[in-house]
Order: sequence, then C-alpha cells, then structure tokens
Amino acid sequence: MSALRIPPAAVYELAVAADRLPADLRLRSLEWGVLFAVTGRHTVAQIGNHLGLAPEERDGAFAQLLDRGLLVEHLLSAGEYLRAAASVDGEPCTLAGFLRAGLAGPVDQAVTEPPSDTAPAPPALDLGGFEPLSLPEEETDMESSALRPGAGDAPPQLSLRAVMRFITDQSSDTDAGQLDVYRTFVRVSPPLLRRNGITTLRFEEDRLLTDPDLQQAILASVEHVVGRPCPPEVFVRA
Amino acid sequence: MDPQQLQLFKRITLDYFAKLSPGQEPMLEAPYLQFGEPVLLDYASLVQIRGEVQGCLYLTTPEPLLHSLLQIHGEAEVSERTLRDMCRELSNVLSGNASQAFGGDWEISVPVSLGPGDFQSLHLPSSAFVMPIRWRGSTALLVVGLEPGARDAE
Repeated sequence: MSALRIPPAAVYELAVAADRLPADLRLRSLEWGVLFAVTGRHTVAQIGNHLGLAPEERDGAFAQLLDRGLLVEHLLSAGEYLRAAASVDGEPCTLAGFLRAGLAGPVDQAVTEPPSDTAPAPPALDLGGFEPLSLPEEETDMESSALRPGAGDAPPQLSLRAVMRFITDQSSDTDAGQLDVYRTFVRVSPPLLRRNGITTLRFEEDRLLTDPDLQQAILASVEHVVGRPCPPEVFVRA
Repeated sequence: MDPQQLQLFKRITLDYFAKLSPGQEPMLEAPYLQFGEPVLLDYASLVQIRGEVQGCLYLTTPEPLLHSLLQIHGEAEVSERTLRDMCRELSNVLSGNASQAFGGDWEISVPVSLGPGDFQSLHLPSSAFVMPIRWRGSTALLVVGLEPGARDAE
C-alpha cells in the first residue's frame, strides 16, 4: 500500500475522464468502485461511507488511485473545506487532527458556528463555484449517470441491461451485438454468475449486481471483447 | 465465430424446417444465455467445433417435435428406434449446416445423436447461447456453446 496520507475531508476528481482510461488499466474491484464513485464534489469520507468501506480499505484504494495518477485533489476554498470537514464522521476528533487538514473531523456546527471572540473573524464564506457537498438526505437523483456517493451506504449496482446495451451499441447489428454479449459472458465464471443467482440471461433483461467480484469480472470481460471500458453509466444507485 | 456465420447457420437451420412444411414457418424466439447446467430436451444432435476457440453446436428437441418430423417423412411408427433415427437425420442436417456456415474457419466433428439416457457422460460448455425455434407447436433449441479458449482468454 502506498504511504500517501489520505485526509478524509479531501475531495478528489478524476485526472482522466472515465471513458478515456487506458484500455489496459487493471485495478482491484475495490479501487474500481472508488474510482467510479469519485465525483469531484464529495469527500473521501463520504465516498468511503457510501461504499461501506473501512477507513483503511478506503485510504488504501485512494492511495493506489493517486499513486497511479488517476485522481487529482480538488482544491477547496475555506468555506468548501469547512463543509468538507463537516462530512467527516467517526474519525479521531482532535484539534491536532483538525489542523492537519481534516484528518480529524469537526462536527457539523463547525460550518455554521462562527469562531470565538479570541480569534479574528474569518471573511464571509464564499460557496460560489462549488456545489455544496451533499448530505445523504439531499441526494435524490436516481439516474445512473449521476451516480454519486453520500446517499447512504449502498454499494453501486452494475446494471446488466446497461452493460448489454453498451456492448450491442458497439456492434454493427443485433446478431453481432448478441454474439458479443455472449462472448463477454463466456469469459465470466459460471459459478460466480450462479452465486449471484444468474442461470439464464435474456438480452433485454435487467439485473442489478452488487458483488464486486462479479462486477469486476464482467467489466474486464467487456473491455476485452469490445476493446473499450464500460462507461460509468452502467452503474446505478440503489 | 463471426456474426455472419452465426446468422447463416441460424437461417439454414430455419430453412430446413420451413421446407418440410410450407405454410408452417418456424419462428425464432428471443435468444438468451444459459449458464451452468446445459440446456437439453429429450434428444440432441451435436457437432463439436474447433477454431479460434473450442465448443459445440447442437439442436436439442422435445419428443413431440420428432413426432412431427416422423409424420412429415411418412413414418407411422413412433418408437424409440424411429425417434433416434429421426434424431440422426437431424444430426446430419446440423452437421451439413455447420459445415456450410463455419466450414472455412472451423473444424467440424462428425455429428453425434443423443437420446434419453445418453446425456450423463456428455460434457458441454458451461455458458451457452440459446436460440429457441418454435415449429408446429413445439420448441427446439439451437445452441452454441463455446469454451473460453486460449486466444479468448488472453
């Protein structure tokens, strides 16, 4: 694991658009999950909570993605930082940690309460230009294209119909598309499919998959067969 | 396996049934993928194929469909012997169709006919592309089963 420090209040964005990722990129399923969850507007802590990751798993995945140049940190204004730090829950809450840029999470009132009289008042917080970090209850968009963490801790679900449509869209006709879908699934372990309750699959049928092993196997196979990675839109939120 | 080859294989298999009973066209129903347990009805006609990957093509039929074929061929006796004969006939048709559709790029084995009790020792690929063919009230399944071969697994 990389020795990079990952502040839970940090906000990262993709260094390369998801549809331009190198074709030969290989990541662990957990790292793919994190990569697809990165929005440029949610903190490490929010993404970790969304994916149900332990802090060490979460930080390891972020460190790997940073190490490989797939993420860059989104620079925050003071107001954005305070919003970001307020999203951090369950981290060691110490003044020293807070001063280490969010390694300890201040509680919600840090955003709304002004500092005491002993410190100079900060300038008015300017939140313009950065969409506030959403609290879970503010997340209502259920569209796959808007997959964002923070809406509870359900892991992202892979839509098989979206995957099959992506494959058939790359093909010249229906027959070729269906054959490519078959080729894709030939390379996926049948026991793994059965473990997820998939014994038959019709081409217009949808199944939402949460098993990261199966998600990874299918995504890797699509890339092998089609020559392009699936877009993030193949994931939907529960 | 390229899509044109598969398309041709499907078409000439459908043509076989269409020519047997003009006015009772076979209908290709929505195809699907099958994982794990192979899909097998009462009888099966099968050829192994080997090319870019290995696998097999088979047509598996329910007994009533073979009854219809026997009837069309003027065979009044319906017994295991005549049903197996009919299955062998289908195996020859399947083999001819496979050679026509895939002959250039694939080695096609001699056809095998399987009936009740013959399936236990049969090894079939665990993922299959299944194309149901509805004809005269029965449904046969035309199946492509490919193994994830060396080239495919690269």
